[in-house]
Amino acid sequence: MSHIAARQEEVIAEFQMFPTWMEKYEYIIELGKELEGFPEQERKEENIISGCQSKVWLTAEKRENGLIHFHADSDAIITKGMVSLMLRIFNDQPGSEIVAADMNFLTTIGLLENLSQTRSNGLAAMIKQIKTYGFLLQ
Amino acid sequence: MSLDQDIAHIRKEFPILHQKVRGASLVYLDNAATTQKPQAVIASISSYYEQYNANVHRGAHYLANLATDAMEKSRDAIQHFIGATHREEIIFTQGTTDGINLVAHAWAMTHLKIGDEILVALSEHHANIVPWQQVCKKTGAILKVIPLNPDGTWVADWKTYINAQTKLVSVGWVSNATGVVHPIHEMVEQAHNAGAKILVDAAQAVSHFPLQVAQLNCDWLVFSGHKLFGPTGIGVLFGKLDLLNAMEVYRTGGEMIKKVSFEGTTFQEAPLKFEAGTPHIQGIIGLGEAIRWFSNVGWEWIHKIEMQQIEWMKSVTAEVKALHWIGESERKTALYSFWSPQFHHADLGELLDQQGVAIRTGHHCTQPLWDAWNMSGTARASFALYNNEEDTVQLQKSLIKSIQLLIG
Repeated sequence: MSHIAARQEEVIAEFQMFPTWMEKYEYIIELGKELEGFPEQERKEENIISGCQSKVWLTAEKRENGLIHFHADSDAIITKGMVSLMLRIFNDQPGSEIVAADMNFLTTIGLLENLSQTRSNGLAAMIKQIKTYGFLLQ
Repeated sequence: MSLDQDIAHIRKEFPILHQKVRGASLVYLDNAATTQKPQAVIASISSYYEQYNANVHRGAHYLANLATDAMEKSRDAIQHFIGATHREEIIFTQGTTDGINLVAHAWAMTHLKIGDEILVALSEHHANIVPWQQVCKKTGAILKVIPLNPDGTWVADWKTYINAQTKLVSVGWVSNATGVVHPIHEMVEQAHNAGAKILVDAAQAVSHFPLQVAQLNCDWLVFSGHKLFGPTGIGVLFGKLDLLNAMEVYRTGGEMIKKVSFEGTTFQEAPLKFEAGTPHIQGIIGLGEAIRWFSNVGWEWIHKIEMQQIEWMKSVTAEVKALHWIGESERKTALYSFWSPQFHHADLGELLDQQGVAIRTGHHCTQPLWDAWNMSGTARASFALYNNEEDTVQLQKSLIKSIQLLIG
């Protein structure tokens, strides 16, 4: 199992502990608040992912160890929590694995069925951008 | 009967309201986006397809006559409902946006020239901005904008924005972003004094108070059927008859012609002149039924319930002080736009949705307004005549719970 798949399993197991929507959201909001700081100079138009109702900024760098590290932020806290969840899965992985990853965890954790179409489109756009960075920086 | 009993009675006529959303009773407060449909409207559409579906106007048979008759009866119902002088002044469109585009193409494009001014207000819906920008691009006319006070009303000196160059005023009667009711009667008078034509966007007004277009004396007025308990995809353009007949044609094709030859084609008079192709027959029939249903409820009662909803909401806005409530003007509909500098309106909307409360979040298609106010949008709760006290109680509870979650 790849690191990415293993981390997805972890997230799925974590969310099984939260049976109600409130607990899930509480956790997501918490994750949003804990997301590491976003470099101010990167908070610019070209780093915004279009397709989200709130603003999402995403950048990526290839570090010396050859792995890809993402920075992200959002002006909405729930989105920020979602972003945080994504980065936990994708951060510091090889580009080839990011490109190849199967994104099944969103449906399994029982958040996606609660999401609006706008939110789902936003998440899809986010995953696409993460994979694009994975491809370009591999 | 008490008001509560009356609302309960009305609610029974809306099948969609009686459902659970994510385990909670649905609280539908997105009526400025679209209203729900009473059983009578739904049934009218079914019975059209079950009993008399046929193409209108030219059919030489029994069903075609029934369909044509039903369609034209809807036109009569609308004429009566909005207080127009002639039935020919009622043009069926796809909706408000389509009606504005019709006037932009069939009148403004050919009547305006370089230096002429079109006047709108800052709070206009994009549908009442973008068509005029296109007109300006083609004709060299200039788009002028009335600024707003912080409460969403037009600035006190709005009359000074009308001058000899003003050829067209196109303004929303009620703002979909703030719920503020603007002084349209005065605006019509001012526009006409300056020799300008005036189009009124009544999309957010039509289900709140009588339009009385002949008395209002506006040149055009537009609204959508789906915001008046009717189907989507159908709307109305009212225009003064002589003006409609003097306008250019917009879409061309079947039914709107008088005689077609390769040497030249002549056109019908209004309204058929503007209704090319097979119309949205089921939509027209559904809208006619919606108007009959709505008229049956009556303005007196509709006004009473809206005043009551505003009263209920006074306690909500007073209780939920963590939010900023926009548009607290004296003349407004039961539409509440709110926001907080501490959290995003999208977060609020998502958490309310989890609790079965349907509202709208975002820019509400009024981006220039939010740009001017340095905001990204709001969350918006908008009422219709079936919203009861329980809805406001649930809204308040869900707001408080959402805020608690967000602040943590």
